[in-house]
Amino acid sequence: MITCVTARERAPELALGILDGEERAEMLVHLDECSSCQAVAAEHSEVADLFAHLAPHVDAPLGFERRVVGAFRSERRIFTRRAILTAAAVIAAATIASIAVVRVVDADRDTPIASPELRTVAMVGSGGTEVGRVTVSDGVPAALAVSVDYSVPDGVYALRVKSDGAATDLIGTITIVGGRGEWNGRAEIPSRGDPRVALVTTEGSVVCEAHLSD
Amino acid sequence: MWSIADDALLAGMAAGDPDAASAFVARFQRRVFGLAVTIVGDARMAEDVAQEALVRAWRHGATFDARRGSVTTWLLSITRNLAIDVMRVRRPAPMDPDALVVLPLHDDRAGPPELAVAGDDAETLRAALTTLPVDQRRAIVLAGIAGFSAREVAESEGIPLGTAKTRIRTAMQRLRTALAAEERAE
Repeated sequence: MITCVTARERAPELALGILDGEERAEMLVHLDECSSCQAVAAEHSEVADLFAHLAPHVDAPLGFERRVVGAFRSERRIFTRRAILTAAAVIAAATIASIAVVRVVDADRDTPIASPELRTVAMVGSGGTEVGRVTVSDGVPAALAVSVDYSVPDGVYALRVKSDGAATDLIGTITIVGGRGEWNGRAEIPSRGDPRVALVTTEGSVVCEAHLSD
Repeated sequence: MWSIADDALLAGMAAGDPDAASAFVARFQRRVFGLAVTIVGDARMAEDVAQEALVRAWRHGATFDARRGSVTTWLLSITRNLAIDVMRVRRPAPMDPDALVVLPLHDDRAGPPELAVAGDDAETLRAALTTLPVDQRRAIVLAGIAGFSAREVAESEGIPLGTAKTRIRTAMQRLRTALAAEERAE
């Protein structure tokens, strides 16, 4: 565990996104528990964000806009297929859970099973960078689809459900290969205390997390 | 054209409105391409980076959270990260950090209010950069724009790693102080 002095020394590099993995992990662990260093890091992040605004505005090559809009159309077809598959997996998992609950609790009644409500929240890494998404159903336990597709180093991470004032629950592991990884399953989601799903390294550092109450 | 706010345009694009998507690309392509080409230094590579950045914005637009920053900052952050990823694989030409600081920040096309705010802050940052000692300015520009790690700054500048870290940290601290002073003065 690093001290506040070390954390404040490293805050500029964290904000600039140039800390190496171990130092970054130590920083994230410290910031998770130190609100005053969080505030310092946030101020540095505001400065770091401005650097990208320094670049000049340059005309893109002829036809760039047409090619990008064309890429949107291609992506839409791929995305639609993926979304259908993801939603189907979540609905299937949630429906199985519903059937199990209904059979145990209400075995004698012919209760229709409604499709669960789904919502998707961003999985956010350091510096507010969006690195993926979590789709979650209502119901207990909730069905979850975790998808990471940006900026997370390859490796195996623990998936944990966290909430304020409660112990974290390990719900599975996710393997990131080539910057991408997916996990589907079910978990008990606390109804209060800002519940979130986090990717955690073997050293216990949070790499990114999604706030399920957003 | 500029009457629609950035976040509304992004929301429209994310909702599948083709007109909003075209307008979004038209509004941001020069900034995105400009940042990409500044970092990668190669027009063809920059075009690929810029296109991928806009596709990611389109793909993730629905989850954009205005509480975390402006659309411009979010989009440029995506662009910068992609460009840095490309450069980690292939770094064709060293960037001259001094050249960047003297470049004009704005073109003559007016934008919505949020662009003006970011522009004001960026102007303050640029002004503050010019007050830094040259060695600190070079280090922080390499780290802040091109994503050079302290080790890469050390190699690029021919200095010890500890010196590179000190230059980056000191420069960031001074810039933070300058921006805070500017905010208090407003």
